[in-house]
Amino acid sequence: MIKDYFKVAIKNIFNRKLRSWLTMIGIFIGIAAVVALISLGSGMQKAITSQFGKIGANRISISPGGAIAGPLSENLGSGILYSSDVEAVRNVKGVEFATGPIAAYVELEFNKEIEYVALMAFDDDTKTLRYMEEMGLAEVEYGRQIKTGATREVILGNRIANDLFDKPIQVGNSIYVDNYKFNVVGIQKKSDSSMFDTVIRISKKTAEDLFERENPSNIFAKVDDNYEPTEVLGKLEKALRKEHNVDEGEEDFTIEIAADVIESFTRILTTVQILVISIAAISIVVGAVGITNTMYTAVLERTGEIGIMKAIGARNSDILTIFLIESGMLGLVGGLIGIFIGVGIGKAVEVIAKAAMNSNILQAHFPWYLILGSLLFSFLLGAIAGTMPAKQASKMNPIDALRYE
Amino acid sequence: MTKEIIIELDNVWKTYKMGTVEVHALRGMSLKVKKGEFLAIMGPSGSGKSTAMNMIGCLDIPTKGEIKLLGRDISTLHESDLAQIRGKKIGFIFQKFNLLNTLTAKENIMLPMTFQGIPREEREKKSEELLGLVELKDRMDHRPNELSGGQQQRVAIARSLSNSPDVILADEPTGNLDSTTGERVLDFLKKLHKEKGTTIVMVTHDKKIAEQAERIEFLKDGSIVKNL
Ligand SMILES: Nc1ncnc2c1ncn2[C@@H]1O[C@H](COP(=O)(O)OP(=O)(O)OP(=O)(O)O)[C@@H](O)[C@H]1O
Ligand SMILES: [Mg+2]
Repeated sequence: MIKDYFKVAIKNIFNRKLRSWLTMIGIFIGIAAVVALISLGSGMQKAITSQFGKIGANRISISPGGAIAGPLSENLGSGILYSSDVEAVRNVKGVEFATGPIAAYVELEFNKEIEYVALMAFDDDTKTLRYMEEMGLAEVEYGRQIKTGATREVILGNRIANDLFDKPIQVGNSIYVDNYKFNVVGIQKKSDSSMFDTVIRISKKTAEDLFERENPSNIFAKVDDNYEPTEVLGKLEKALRKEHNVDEGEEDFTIEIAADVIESFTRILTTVQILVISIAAISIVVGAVGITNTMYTAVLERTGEIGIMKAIGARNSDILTIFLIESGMLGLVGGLIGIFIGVGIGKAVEVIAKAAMNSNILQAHFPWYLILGSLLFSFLLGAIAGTMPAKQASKMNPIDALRYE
Repeated sequence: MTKEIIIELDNVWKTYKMGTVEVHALRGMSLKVKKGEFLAIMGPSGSGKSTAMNMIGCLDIPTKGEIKLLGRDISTLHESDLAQIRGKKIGFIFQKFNLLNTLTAKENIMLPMTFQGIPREEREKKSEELLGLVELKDRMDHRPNELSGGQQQRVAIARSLSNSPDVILADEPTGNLDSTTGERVLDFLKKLHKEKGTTIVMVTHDKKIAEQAERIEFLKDGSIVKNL
């Protein structure tokens, strides 16, 4: 019997005027926002933790200048980090390990072609190597890592090897870095961030000897598990202030701790989520009011029908059910359209993110429970929104309803 | 052999309150209808004919007095019981046909059975059978607005029969039809009465129509009178 009532409700819905559909735009927007948000939200969370999670909560990064600088940025700011700083960092209690890679722009020659690329040089001991690997900055796909003590070995970023020159560079080839001949021993794995695919890597010792560079572009440190990272951070700050001879508040260096970065990103994400959810909630309320409104209109328009149905044996509960199903179906249709829009937005953001970041870490997920949950929610929402009008319909006096013109 | 009384109104009053004004639609109406009878009720406009029909049909309850349907006092029944009686024991035919415009002829006939929880197959079978009876089988998938007035009223007759009611209540069934079409519709009612022995109470303005019933009662100012 409920099946038959669904049929009646669907018939009535198809007989609706366009205007009654317009009042449901709120449902479309609300459900679309929720679907897009949830589908992207988990992807975004994943992307952030995969980007920063590699660094780990107990890892500290020190960059020159007051501003945030990446490991490859040149010292444009006022500050410079010195190789003595690395020593100072190592001496701070609670620091398990510290390394200061050198960064530079160099000329790269291969097969008579010349390109300019970024160079990164860090200590060739296994501990540093493992640290860099864990950060996703030094994973080798072909060949091997630079041997400890080797001088003329180079590892190429994935895009340098494959895309930069007319002919792809292979392990075993020779290239010239600022006119010094190097042997390509490895090619890095494609990384999540394209920046590291356009870098070449040599040992720090070689960089110091050949290019007469010694000041690190950044210092990476790891806090001993037995110490509280933020406490060590404070001590580090003090040590470097002393080293650089600056007062508190005038630092020419920036210390970041991965935990902070993750936290601030998560905070931004949460803010965005709260904002979108608020918009969705408002839209859904507006949509629900819209359904209530069109159902009141429908009850009024169909007063005569209600009278007829009662005259031929419909009980109040039958009328109530019919109208509840109808408003539930309205919600459901609104939800369905909203889901389509939401999936569209989710997919669009995914595609845009892929193009912009040149990586597909931001994936929109549409799990079945999201779709099913949205549908169920919109049906219930519609039914709830239609409760008052449906009650009014069911309580109508059959004679008055029949006499209504 | 005296036949069983199927409808009995005993000093029935119906008063509508319009603000402070009271309108007495029925003033002590008494009436007995025997099982299998074909009764016509005549009376001037506003005399309370429709009010009486609605009350017999359990669409409303009297202000005062007693109405017995199939030996049962209906004036004290609850909403869902009244709905049950309307669905099972009564078949309504209205002047304005009162079909649902969103449904086809066949679906309209099926609807009262739906409310009684009758399974789909049975509903389909019965409705097609009834469409055959009113000679509209070829129009079963048409909607009311695609049918003529006479055809619509025949669908309404078929619908009124769908739950095999004990009583058919027809409130001016020919009122919206021209005389030829009206005659045709009346023929179906007469056939029904003759072949199935259904009790029919019919309200009409038209003396020629009324005279085709077995008995005529006159209603004036809310009560039965000898003649007008
Ligand atoms: N729901 C109502 N509220 C108020 N007054 C009503 C109501 N229904 C009927 N009346 C009044 O009761 C009286 C009888 O009405 P009823 O419809 O029964 O007349 P009728 O004999 O069917 O007339 P007609 O031949 O015009 O159909 C009229 O005066 C009418 O105005
Ligand atoms: Mg009337």
